[in-house]
Amino acid sequence: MKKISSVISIVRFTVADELHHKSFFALLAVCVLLIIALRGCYRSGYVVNGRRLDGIAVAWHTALAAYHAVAVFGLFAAMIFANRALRRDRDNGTARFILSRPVSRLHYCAGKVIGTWIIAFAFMFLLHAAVFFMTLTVGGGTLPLLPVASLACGINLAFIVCLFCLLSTALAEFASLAAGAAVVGVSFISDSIHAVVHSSVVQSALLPAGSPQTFTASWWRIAWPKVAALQYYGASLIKGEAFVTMGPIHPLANVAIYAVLLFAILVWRIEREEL
Amino acid sequence: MTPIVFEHATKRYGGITAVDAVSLHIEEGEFCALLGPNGAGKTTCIKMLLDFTRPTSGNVFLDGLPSTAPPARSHVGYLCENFLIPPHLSARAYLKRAAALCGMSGASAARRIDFLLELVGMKDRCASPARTYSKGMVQRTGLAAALVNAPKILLLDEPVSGLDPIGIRDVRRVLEGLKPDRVTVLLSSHLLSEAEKVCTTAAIINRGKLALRESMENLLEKGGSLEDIFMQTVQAP
Repeated sequence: MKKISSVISIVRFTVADELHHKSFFALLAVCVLLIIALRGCYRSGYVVNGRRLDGIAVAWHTALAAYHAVAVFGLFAAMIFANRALRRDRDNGTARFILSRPVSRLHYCAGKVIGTWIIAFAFMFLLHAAVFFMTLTVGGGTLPLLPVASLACGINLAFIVCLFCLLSTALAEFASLAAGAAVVGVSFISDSIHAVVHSSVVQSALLPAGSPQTFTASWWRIAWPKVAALQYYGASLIKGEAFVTMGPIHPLANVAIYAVLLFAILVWRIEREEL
Repeated sequence: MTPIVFEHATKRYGGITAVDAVSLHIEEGEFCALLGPNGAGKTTCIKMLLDFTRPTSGNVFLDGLPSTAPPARSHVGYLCENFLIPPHLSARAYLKRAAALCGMSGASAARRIDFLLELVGMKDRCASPARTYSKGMVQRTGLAAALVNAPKILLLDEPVSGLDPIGIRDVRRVLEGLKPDRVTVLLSSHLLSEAEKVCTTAAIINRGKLALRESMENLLEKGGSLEDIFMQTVQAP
């Protein structure tokens, strides 16, 4: 019980420290402004080939684009928060302060990771909620599975938090940000190519009707963290479409396994770190 | 049970031996001054006690437990050298955090925090953010945080560094107040005159080795001041 209370205390400290950063509110303000800017897209009367488009369909597609944009904002926010969470503790004496108390390094890591994840997830979920309510009120449509898709993206944030916390213990601030962003970038390129190739539009254009889909991804693409694929899986939930996975492991499991693995390495590293 | 035990504790950083087979027992209620020139290994000894760094060989025990076990720190207070407080936190918020990590909450924690803020003279500024504090105020808050759980063992690394004479006197007064409670204190300091006034024993570390371990009374009976004995010890070939 005492162990859990120390983890909860560290979670509370982490959230409170992050909320004192001006950059948190600056980032949130920029994202909210971008969401508000989307209001115009919902209301515009689009005309294609002389025919007025269905307003609800436009709102639905706009909301889907907003879902992806918010998920990417969430990733960026998680990168920034996680990259400084442990570094800040080292620099301002908080790590020594906490670990001079009867707190194990495992609980310290758990508290920092959970706290950073909560703040990043709350950031993304609030923006997704804004998209949900704007679609409902301004666009007149509903996206009942948007909160579920947002939860799926939350697994991505757990992965990002573990990755950047780990990198921040080994690399300088900019280097860890660049290395982590490269991992996520490769995922977006690889998974996006896969998603486009397997989209119904491309499939119908490339393949004769009735011929089976062929799958030819190299092993490293199958094993790479499926950050973007998990986001596309969330989108498929919203759209109610079938989701084609790359390889035998579902992106949810892939990203969750990576998050657990990275957390284990982080604890291993922190256990050996000198303060 | 001896609260602080070093058994042939050695710490090497690559080819450099920071602490060399130090064996030291500090008994309950003892106020031990850990003295030595810069780089002698004083801070490394304190870090080994708190599991901030692990000995390359030998053993370190705190409160009867191996120093690597978190419960060993249950009744320990610690004030580090160059102590810092996150700039947005007030002294009260910082002490609340310290109390929460020690499993204290509610009215008893609030009473203890009020008492400590009064004790270290931070009552008037306890709501201001730490970015507005002087070095001395930060140090006083750190001392209060070290005492929040009414520790049985107090580890102080340069507790008076940066303090003015009034602050130094106040810290001495606080430490003297712990003597009736039989708190064990390990105080690392460069201020020999302060160590002489507060501590009951002294351990001098030189080039990582324990060079001298004696009660303050015996040391001073040998003649001269602690400073003279310190200089003789560290300058010995």
